[in-house]
Amino acid sequence: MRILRVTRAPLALTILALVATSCGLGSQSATTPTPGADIKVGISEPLTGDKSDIGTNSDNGYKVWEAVVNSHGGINGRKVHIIQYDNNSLADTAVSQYQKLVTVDQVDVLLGPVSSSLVIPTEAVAAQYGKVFVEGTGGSPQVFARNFNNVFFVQPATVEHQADPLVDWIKSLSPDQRPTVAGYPTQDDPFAQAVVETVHTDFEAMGIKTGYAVQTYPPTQTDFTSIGSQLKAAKVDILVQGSVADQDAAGAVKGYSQVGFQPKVSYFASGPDSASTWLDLLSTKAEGTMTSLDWLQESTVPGNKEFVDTYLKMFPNKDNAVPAEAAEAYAAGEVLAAAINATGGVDNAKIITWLHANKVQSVEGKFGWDAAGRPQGGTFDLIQWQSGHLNIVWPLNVATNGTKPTIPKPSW
Amino acid sequence: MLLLQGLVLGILVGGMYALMASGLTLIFGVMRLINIAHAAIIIFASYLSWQLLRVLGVDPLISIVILVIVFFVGGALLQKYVLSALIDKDLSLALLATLGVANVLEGMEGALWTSSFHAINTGYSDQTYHFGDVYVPLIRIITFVASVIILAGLYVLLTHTNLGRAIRATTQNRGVAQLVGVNVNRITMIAFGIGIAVAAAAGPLMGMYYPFYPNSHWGWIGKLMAIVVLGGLGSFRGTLLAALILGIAEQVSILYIPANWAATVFFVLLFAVLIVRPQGFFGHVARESL
Repeated sequence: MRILRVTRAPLALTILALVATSCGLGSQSATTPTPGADIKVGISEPLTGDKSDIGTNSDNGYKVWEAVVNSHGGINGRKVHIIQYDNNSLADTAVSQYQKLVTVDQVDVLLGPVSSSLVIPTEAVAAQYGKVFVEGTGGSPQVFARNFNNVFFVQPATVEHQADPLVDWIKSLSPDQRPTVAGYPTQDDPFAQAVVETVHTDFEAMGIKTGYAVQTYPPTQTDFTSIGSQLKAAKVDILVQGSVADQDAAGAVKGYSQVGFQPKVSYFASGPDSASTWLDLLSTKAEGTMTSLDWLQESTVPGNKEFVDTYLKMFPNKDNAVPAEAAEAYAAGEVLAAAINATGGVDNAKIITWLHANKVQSVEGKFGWDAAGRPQGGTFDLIQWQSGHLNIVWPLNVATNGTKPTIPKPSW
Repeated sequence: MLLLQGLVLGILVGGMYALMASGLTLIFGVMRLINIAHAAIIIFASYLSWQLLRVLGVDPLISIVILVIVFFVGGALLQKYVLSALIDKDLSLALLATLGVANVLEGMEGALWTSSFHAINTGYSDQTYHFGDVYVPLIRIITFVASVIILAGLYVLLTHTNLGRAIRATTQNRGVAQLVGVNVNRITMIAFGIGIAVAAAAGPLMGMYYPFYPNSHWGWIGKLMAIVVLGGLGSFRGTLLAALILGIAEQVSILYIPANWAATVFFVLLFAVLIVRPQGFFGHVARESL
């Protein structure tokens, strides 16, 4: 028999590889056992993979919520303790992690992951175990299609209404200003497709022609030059892009500018709201880009100042910017805390019943939910990058300092 | 006109793919090792170039020179002190070690630069020239020319120098090379260093093309391996041809079929070629005694 002798350096690296690999494929970032009195909250987030940017933002929001709640003595005198895993942006991993959170970690309650594509498979796990599933970013129609009564989406409206202010604004334009040909490239994602398909239907009804139909690209798409060439050839003058992350949104802007595709209006389902990251990626090309907003850093709704201040203390950055995903996660935490507080414990059935019967104030606003968890009564705002700032531009009654949408947008 | 635009963009991006994959095929040729960390090293070089630009104002094209030297030394040391010992015992251990390097780099990048997307933006990033309706972005011309220069330098090194002859001899037959006096251990170390240095050269150029984040290398390594396999494992000119085919296939196919399907065109082509020529375009059929 041959005995394998390996020098120490390679062996150490090999062990490191195994450890690092296991970390990359779904690691637990908080494994410390908690005292029985703590409320254990289970979360799986995409901290690595193609959704890592929004996943990290959302995770930071949950961390801020945990810190704020505990600084006030917890909920009903019980401290909150988050047990969290990294799902590497993989739905299967997220599903198994939520099962582990319930069966092995025996968490009291769950909070949802970022994005519809991760909420859709994981909400079923929560329903299977009768756990409440409050989440801040999964708002596509498929999230509510199975009519689970344990899901609560904490944004003012579902995603098919996200671009309503864009449609309203375009309707308000005079015929000579109004774009005439639209293009709808979209990532293969339930959230993004829901946004662009609704706009597509509305624009067709308004007589805006379709130059580039709702065509999906894979999440790994980084080169958008050829799509840009097609949009330009089709004379598209209003772009409605179903982007999900900074990768595809910023990649698209770079690719489009390289082939000379210059629409009058550019709307992205996601991307321009990522504040300083968007500017870092695109610099002056960010100018004129639009998206919708469910939350504003300067908002005066109750609790927002404490959230923003704590966020910037815990995650300082040169631009003093707080990403929207962090606010959405924080709001989900606020809603869950309100329900636990009102029901006096962590009986999930009672929490679910209470949430269906009440409106809850969070940094996202005050609203309630229908039987399937759709928020009721709220609306989005249209925002645009203008002179290096992100301004609310529609509806006009809430516009930042009376600003109006810039049309045509500056060239990128 | 759309087709012409697609062809131009495809050739330009193919040049960058060739640079990204050439180090991988060089390392495989000399060591018979698939360096799983290759794309991670490219991304790491992208981050360092981004950092050099942001902190010291070093242009990405200048940073290539710095990174090539540093990564050559780092690659040679990695081969000498880690991989060579593992390869002597079991090739699969070396393969696992490269996986470890990829994960260590990924974790380090996440800790240093967060998991947010980054992009290298320069003063010339925005410029585009157009000839009629065909647009040619300056950044892509620069990247293509830089790739051609680096690959030409590598070609001259491999074909017109004693070092290159020794590397090629080691690639073709390690045992015979040793018999005729080539110090194959030293040559392997240098060749691995060169492979890593070429990856480092590709980093800043890739970072000017596309946004990147710590584990974006997983998306790239499959593509680079496909190029190397199509070209023929260890074949330099095969890699060049396959990279150009991939670039053109990506850019042209998306004009006619949905983007979701366009991403599969190259792989369909890969399967078709491998059915006819399992060794790829310029690969050799290995014959070993049992």
